[in-house]
Amino acid sequence: MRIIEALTLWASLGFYTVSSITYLISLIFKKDKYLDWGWKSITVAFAIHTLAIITRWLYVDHVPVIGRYEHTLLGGWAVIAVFWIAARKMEKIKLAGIFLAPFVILMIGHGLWSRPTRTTLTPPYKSGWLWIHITFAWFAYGAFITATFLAVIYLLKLRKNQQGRVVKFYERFADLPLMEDLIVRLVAFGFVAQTIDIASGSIWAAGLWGSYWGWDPVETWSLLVWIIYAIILHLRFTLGWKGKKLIWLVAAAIIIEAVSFGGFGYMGSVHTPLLIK
Amino acid sequence: MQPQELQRLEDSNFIIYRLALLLNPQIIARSFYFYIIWLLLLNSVVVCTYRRIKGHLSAQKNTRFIKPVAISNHENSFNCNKSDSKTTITEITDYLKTKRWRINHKEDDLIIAGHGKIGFWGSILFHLSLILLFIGAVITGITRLDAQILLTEGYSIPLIQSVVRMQKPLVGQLPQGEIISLKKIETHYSKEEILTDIYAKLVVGDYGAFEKKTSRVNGAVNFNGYSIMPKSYGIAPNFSFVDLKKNQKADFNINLGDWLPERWVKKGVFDSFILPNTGLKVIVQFVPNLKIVKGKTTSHGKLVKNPALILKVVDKQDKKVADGLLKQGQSMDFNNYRLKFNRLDYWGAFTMVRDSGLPIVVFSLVLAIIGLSIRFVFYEKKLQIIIGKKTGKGLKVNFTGKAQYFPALFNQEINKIKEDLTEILESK
Repeated sequence: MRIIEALTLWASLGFYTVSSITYLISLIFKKDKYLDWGWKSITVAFAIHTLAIITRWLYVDHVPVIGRYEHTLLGGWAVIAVFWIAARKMEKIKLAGIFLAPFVILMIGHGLWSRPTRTTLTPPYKSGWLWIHITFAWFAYGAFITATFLAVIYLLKLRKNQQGRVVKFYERFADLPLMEDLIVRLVAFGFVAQTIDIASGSIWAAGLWGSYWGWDPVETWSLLVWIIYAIILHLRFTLGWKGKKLIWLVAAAIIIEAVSFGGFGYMGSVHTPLLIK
Repeated sequence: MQPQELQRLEDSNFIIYRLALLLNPQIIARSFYFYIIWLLLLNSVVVCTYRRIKGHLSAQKNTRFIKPVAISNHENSFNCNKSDSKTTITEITDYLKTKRWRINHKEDDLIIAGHGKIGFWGSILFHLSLILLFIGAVITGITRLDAQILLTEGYSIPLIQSVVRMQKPLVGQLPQGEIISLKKIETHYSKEEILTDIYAKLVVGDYGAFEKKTSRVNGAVNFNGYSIMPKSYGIAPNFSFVDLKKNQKADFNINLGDWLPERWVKKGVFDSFILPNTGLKVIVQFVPNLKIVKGKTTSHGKLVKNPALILKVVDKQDKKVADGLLKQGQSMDFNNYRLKFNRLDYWGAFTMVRDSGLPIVVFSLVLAIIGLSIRFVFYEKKLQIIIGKKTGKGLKVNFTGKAQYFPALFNQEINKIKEDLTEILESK
């Protein structure tokens, strides 16, 4: 099982690399057929990545969410899953894989930095809430990350449009209003996933420690992320914010999300055994 | 931030320590200003929800009998070769129904269709769930009892006497007649000696009616409105202490250590207890799996397989009186006293909670998820199709549409509807 896990992991990383390279070739040499190759490679990598998670699950005999390696394995998968579904809905964002494939390689690389040894679930984590809580946390993260990359592309494309310059790279992406709708939709999906993440964590904590909220650093920052994306959605849907200023907010909000996922997990928190090992 | 980390920061970097104190969520959460922010937020949610419901109902009332003329943010039209607007409208209606559009209004030359009206109520449900969440949190804040109880294997005591620490001194809420006893603590370890489960077999009851219940991590025991869940456990060796001169004997358990076995085997970690009426103190080191290698006492692993105690008896001036290593059933004599290590029992620390706000909070969280899901799956869209005057080629089909969210994506949808209808109306 360990060998199959290693094989599938390295094969998926290989295909993510191939995808990044072919996207890059398509961009540098302006050959659209390589764009399709990039997409196909990312699809294959995603399928093998799924297999890697399944084999890891079978090997450790629990949902692979303990320690940095397992976390990044599942987190990277969630990022690509959200991107893959979004790109199936809107063909013209497939090129965003040029950012997302290397991002996932770096993410898993960061996880591999730790020792990916066999992990055991300690008593607090022996709960059905574990996989619900963490899966939705990563789906929220995946949606916010994908929305952020698209937001950056949106802002760059808008800038070129305002300068009156036509750059082929940006023209390969969907029109700005369509991209804006997709970005907001991703934020909305991430917001729902984050709500499920926080709610499931609270219900779990109530049964585990007798308290549904403890102002733990990760809890607090998750709430902060939730409030910020709630504000973004209200600005869009209630106050009618559109275009540049809204998308700037989406792009900037990822800083809080990054702190929540990457930074405060390292502080004394009930989430620490999950995030670091 | 944990108190130990704060302590470390205070020693190493005073400015960051002050910042950490200032930004500590637990301190902020208890501040007066924080309550004001929550109150303002609650006020905002209540007012906005009320205004939205009122606006929605009055809008419905106003448009119920009035033909909506302009609902547009998307316009489109195409010509078809049909000559009868009534049959054209029927065909369009059939198509829209297959695409799950609800026909709100229909005339010989007009269709008003809608989609996702329930989405509005999803939003209302979500905001009402937030109000409910606030109410639940307030009830929790006022009435919650959170105590830590300490039980030793084999002892039965009134539940109220087992409480060693309370978050809130709400004595009125504490159980009065209930008795609790810890029958056994059972632990499970993996091959790598990692703790995988703790089971605590309890007997709880009041006034003669007792029930056996098993409390485990993630599986609290519920009793008379209280939830009891294990927090930690440790060893409680059972001793016999005999005064050889007076020929008096006492059996007792001493709760040692304050954490899981990982801590006990750390070098230099000792526990101690006082022998009553003797002025002597016993310093104890626990050895979970005794092995004597080349005359040296050591423990092979952290699991309790061959338990032993290394004891050192000292007087008030910390002067050694006696020392020795005792396995279960062994004893040592000193100063006309005998101390016997009978067996190894365990103690368990439990969290005991009574929270009337919890069911409300859980219910509101479930409602919030349902409400949000409805909101974004069913967002409101309106479509108005008017059959125009006959031109040279046939009838003119005019579209106007409006989507509450995602207008560009809706535009794509309108174009798709147009393509489908063109095909349907041209082919028949």
